[in-house]
Order: sequence, then structure tokens, then C-alpha cells
Amino acid sequence: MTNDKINDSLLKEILTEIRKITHQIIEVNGSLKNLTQSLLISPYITPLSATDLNESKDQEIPSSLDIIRLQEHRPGIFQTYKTIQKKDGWVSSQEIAETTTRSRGLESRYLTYLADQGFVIKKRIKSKTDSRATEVLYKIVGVDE
Amino acid sequence: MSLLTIAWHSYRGGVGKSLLAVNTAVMLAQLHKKVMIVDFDLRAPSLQTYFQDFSENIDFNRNKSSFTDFLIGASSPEDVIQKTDLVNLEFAISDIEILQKTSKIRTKLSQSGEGKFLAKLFEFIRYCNKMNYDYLLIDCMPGVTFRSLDALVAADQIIVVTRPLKSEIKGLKLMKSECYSKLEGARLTAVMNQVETQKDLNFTPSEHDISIINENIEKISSVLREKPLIPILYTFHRIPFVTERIYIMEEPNHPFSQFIKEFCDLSFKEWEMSKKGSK
Repeated sequence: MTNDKINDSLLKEILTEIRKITHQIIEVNGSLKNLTQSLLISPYITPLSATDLNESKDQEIPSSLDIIRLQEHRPGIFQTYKTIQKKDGWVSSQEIAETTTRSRGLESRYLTYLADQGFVIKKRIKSKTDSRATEVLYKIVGVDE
Repeated sequence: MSLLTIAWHSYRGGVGKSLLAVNTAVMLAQLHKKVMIVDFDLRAPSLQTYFQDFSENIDFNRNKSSFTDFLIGASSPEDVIQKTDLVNLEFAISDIEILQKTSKIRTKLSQSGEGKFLAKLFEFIRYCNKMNYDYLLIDCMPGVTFRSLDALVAADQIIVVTRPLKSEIKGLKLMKSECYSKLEGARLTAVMNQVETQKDLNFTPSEHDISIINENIEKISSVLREKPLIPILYTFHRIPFVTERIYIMEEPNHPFSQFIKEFCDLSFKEWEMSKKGSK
């Protein structure tokens, strides 16, 4: 009987600890979700898994539903997407910024995000003006060079 | 970029998109603008009906490729564009053959990834821009389909065509919340079409029917006024016996031609401003 009582109280303690751990896991999970959400929404934060430069993956061409979903996650990016769609060949963030009349930095961040999500591909080339500098160019996925 | 892409869309079919789009295209061409109109209703194309009596040079016998051929990558933009008697007006029809069970094009369409068509549509827009077209008018599929979304995503200006029917009230509400509101930066306007007037009627409609129609008009207007606002640019009154014809060309004094002229007068300035803004 005494042993049974000890076992019972031990089991209760273990159960209480498991509950505490479960609550903590739920809290950590919630914090992680919030963190991921803020990375997705803010145009000022470069995603952690940004596409490597010079990488040209064989990707599925995004559909109109993908574009609408993209806009839901990152308001403001639709204009960048449409502008690059209307340009022929490789373009720089500066060229996009001149059309959208927004800052080059913002367009650059949007373009990086578009590259990360598989909407555009990007490459780095040597700058024509400065031999030591490089320039990043972007092109829409599915457009032949 | 000086090209303005205008998509003509509606919740339901049969609201008069094609009739309005084709007549507007001709009107714009008469205003010395270089215009391209494309039949993007791949499920039930109808543009050929309007143009078959328009010019003897138009080829509807598969010697000329269709826009569907371009979409599946079988033809270039040059191959699908047809000229008309109006120097400034060109068009591309879709393939009726797509509807047939033995259609090879249909097989190819169903095999391709959905994204490829949006990419092809943007390719066509880039081509039109390069060739210095002023306007590209896209006659869309009604409702929410991948193809209608393609046109809405690609367009600079969207004209929502509606009719005073009860089904339009909920339909438009849904379209606004689930579709139009998500097309950031697109300029949206609406036209109310086929609004009944009691002129030319040889019977007196019942008070009940009149009140239903008036109620529908009010409710549709109210839906369009909700955020995001889609202003009703023009109301086309129903004209008996108007059919699939290019009235603006064939009968410039027809009441429908007058409506189109008024509609273009109202829209043209805004469209030209948009073109300047997108340069």
C-alpha cells in the first residue's frame, strides 16, 4: 500500500512536470511563429534563406494565385513584380526603382524576396563603372534570354 | 512604358463584356490610338463573331494561328495578330477548336503548368509595348479561373462589367473581398450594363419587377461603394435587339454607338493619364 501511494504521488509529480513542459513548448512555438511572421512581413528584413547569387534553379513558373498569395504576405511587392514582368531581359534594382518611383533599397529588398520565393532569378556581374565593384541583376522566371 | 493593358472582367458571363470591349477598341482606334484586342475567354471565345464581317482579309480558317497557339508556345505573337480594315486596330482570337474532344491544343493546355500562361501573357504585353501599341484590351473569362486571374494580375486597369441581377450582388461582394482587393495597384472601375428603361416597351412591366431591378441596382452600387471603392463609371441602358456587332463602325448613329462614345469620353482622359503615369 505504502509503495502504491509513493508510486501514485510520483506519477502525479511526473504528470505535473510534463504539463509544465508542454506549456513551455507551446509558448516557444508561438514565439517562433511570431518571429517567422515578422520575417515574412517586413520588407526591411532579408529572409534568412536568401537565394545564393548566380543560382539559376529549374523552377516551376509561378501562377497568378502565387502572385496574389505573395502580395498577401508582403504588401507593396506586387508593383515590383509587375514592373519586372514588363521589362525585357536582366534589370537592376535601380531600373525598377526608376519606374516605381520608390527607393532603390526597398526595390532591392523586394527583388531579393522575389528571388527567394522563386519568382525571379538573380546574377551578379562586374560593374561597368568600377572594376572592383559588382552589380546584381534580376530576371523574371520563365523568360528566355 | 506607354502601353495600357485593360482587362474586361465580370462575375458572370453574358453581361456584355465582349460587345463593350470590341466597340471601345474600335472607338480608341478611331481616336488614332494603336489598339490590340485579345480574346482571353478560352472556354467560350467570341471575338471572331464580331470581326467576321469586318474585313475580308481576316482569316478564320486555321491558316492563321490563334492566341491559344501562342499560349501553348506553338506560335509567336506576330503569327497570331490579325489586321483589320482600320489601320490602328489589330486583334487575336482564341481557338474554338479547344472545345472539341479531339483537340490537340486542349491536351497541351491541360498538360502545361498554370504559371506558364501568365508568363506567356506577360510576354505578349512586352511584345505589344515594344511594337508601340497604346492599348491592349483583354476580353476575360468571367468569374474566378486561373485564366481570368492571369488577366487581372497582368492588367493596369480593370473594368468590372455588371448587370442589375440579384446574383451579381453576392457575386461582386465575393469578387471584391477575395480577388479585386488583392490586386494591389490595379485601377478598378465598373460599368453597369443592360439597365432597363421603360422606353421602347410595348407592355407595362409589373411594379414588382421594376422594384426588384431598382433594388438590385441600389445593392450592387452599394457593394461597389464599399472598400475598396470601385466607382461606376458609366451605366449602359439596355437597347432592344442589340447584338454582336461593331456598332461604332457600322452604325455610328445607333444609340449604342452614342453610349460607347460617351463612355470613351469619360474614360479616355483617365486612361491617357494612367499611360503617362506608367511611363
